Amino acid sequence: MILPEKEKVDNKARSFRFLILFAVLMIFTVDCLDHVWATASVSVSPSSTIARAGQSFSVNVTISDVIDLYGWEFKLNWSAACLDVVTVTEGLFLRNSGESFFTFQFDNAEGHLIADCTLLGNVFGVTGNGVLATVTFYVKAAGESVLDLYYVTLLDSSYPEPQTILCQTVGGYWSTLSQHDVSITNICVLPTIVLPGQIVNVNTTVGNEGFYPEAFNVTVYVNSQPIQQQSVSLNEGSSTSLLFTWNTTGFGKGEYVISCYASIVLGEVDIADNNRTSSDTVTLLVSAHDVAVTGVKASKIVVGQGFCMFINVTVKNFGTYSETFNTITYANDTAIHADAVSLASGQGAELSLFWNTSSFLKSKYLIRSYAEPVSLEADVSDNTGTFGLVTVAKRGDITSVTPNVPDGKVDMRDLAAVARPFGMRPGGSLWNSNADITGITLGLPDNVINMRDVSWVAINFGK
Amino acid sequence: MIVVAMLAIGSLGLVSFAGADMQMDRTWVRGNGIIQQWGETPVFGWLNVRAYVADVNGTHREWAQAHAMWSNEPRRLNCSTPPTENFTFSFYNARLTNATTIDLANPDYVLFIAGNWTVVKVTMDIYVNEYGEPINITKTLEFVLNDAYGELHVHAPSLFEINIDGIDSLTGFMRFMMMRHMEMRMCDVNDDGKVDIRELVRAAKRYRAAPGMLNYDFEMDFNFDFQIDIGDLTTIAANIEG
Repeated sequence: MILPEKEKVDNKARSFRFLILFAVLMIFTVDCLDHVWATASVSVSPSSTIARAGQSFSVNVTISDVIDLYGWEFKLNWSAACLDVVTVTEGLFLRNSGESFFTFQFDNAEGHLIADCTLLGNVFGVTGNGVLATVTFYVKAAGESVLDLYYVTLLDSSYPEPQTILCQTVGGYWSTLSQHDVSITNICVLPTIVLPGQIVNVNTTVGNEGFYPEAFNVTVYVNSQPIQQQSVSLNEGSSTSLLFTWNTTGFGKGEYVISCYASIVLGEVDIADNNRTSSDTVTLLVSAHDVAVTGVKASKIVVGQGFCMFINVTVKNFGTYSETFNTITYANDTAIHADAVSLASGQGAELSLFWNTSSFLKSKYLIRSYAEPVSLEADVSDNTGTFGLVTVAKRGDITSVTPNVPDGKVDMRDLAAVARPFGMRPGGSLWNSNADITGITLGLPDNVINMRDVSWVAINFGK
Repeated sequence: MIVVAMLAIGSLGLVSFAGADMQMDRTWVRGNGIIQQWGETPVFGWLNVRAYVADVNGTHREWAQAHAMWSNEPRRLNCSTPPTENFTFSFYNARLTNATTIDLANPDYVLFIAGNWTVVKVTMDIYVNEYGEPINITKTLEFVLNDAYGELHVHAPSLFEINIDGIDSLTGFMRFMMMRHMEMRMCDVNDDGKVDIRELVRAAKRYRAAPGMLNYDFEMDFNFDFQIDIGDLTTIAANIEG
């Protein structure tokens, strides 16, 4: 049959669109599967536990970065000579999403546990991170044991035959052997706003959580600079307070982080608690009028033209007077936001703003914030804070051969860049804020990468 | 739950049981068939059969389990779409309650099982929501035969017939039939040699399903109560081997 020329062209265009759609779906599917295979992880948490004979302790079996989990099974082995399982309880990961069935069997003579759990009914599985089960042990004899997690099976909600979700497993370890353990249990800094030359007191509490007397050094750091050290001897199970002083003479204005470190004693395994950082920073003022921009952070470095992104600006008053001043944020030389801020001496503030790129051309923009100098301010060198370049690009064009650098066209690379972190939220291992193109409000990111974001790549695909 | 599981296991047509681990010649059989005819009437249904035969130090031991379900309403029992409204539905169920003879070496048959069968007619009232999911199920059992003598013959290559005194013969074909010298575990429906999360998930996906509903699976109804429920999940759980 001979088709008219227009119909031939239409058919070709239709076929082309179909092929593109098919390719998009294939890439998306493969990439999502690849993501599932690559990232799901089941582990014993905490990975290392210390408990004495006669004590009980619990470990969680946790899962991370899993997609569509419908049912799971794991086996756990331990040293039967030292530990007995007391209870096994289901975690909330599946249970929070609907009805579930949980079963387990353990054999304390063999040091062996098997646990199974499944959702009920023809429902979708659960995505994300959480606790599968909690196992409580009783330490009946001193020693050590690997908590060997193995034969972990994860199944998705495919019907009629569930598919295996590949995962990596990480076991745990318990011991009574690490009987040497010192720690910093508290750190308190006062005052937190000072002038140069004033003294800052750093109160710390150190403890000996081991079973032997220990002698060790405790050092206080200002940022990464050691300022004072004391030697301490503690009997097992005891603690003491130590007072350190920091003479701020010679230090310039700024914010300082105070931390405290207890040296590792011989045979110590648990060293995570040997270091502690104060939750309060110390602000060192200058006897003058002085405001500053201390940070500028943008939520992404590629934004679709006409869409929005968030920018956080932190400002601080380092002077000894209360000040009111304007902070203006620029994209290149165009002001995109201005805030009037009033700050007492030593006080800081975080300004959250969003940038609507509707009136901006596709290009690269230097994002910076400027705190207008206050009256009699001499040092204006820190009144400007810079984030860096943000690219306003075609919607859906978020990458190229160079990651996170748009290339002017929406293609397979962009599709893969959105598909790879699909389902992720901030904090997820594959989270990429550039891929969070929009949320339910058009152009406003919603902190999850989902079909709305994929659809923008699909809409502009090939353009 | 454990009691339900034990009841399910205990409902096997048990002749004798090999307990000790010793030198023996053992054969496990598992089969699954489709019932096509009841007498001259076309019907649809399923047959599930398991058997075990062993010679242990010269002592013959054997047990068998057979279970058939069929209906004069093939489209309802073998439905392919979820129900759109409440419905009432009847089917028949025959269960081997006591196996007296199990023969795997007969030249005329692949498998021969004789024994007593109980046949019931089940009427189910199924109330569903707008998604076709069951809200409430009531079932009425009417005994047709109790402990009637009957024989199951599986012929080569794959045909079978069940002749129970008092009702017409049931005939059909085997979808599969396996014989092994290694143990076929109770509830191991995917024949991978173990009962694990795969069986549990398979039953869980069909949770609350009953005959006449899309996702009812005859093989997963281990306690023969005509619904995939907590009893079946517990039966599987009890058979998971650590």
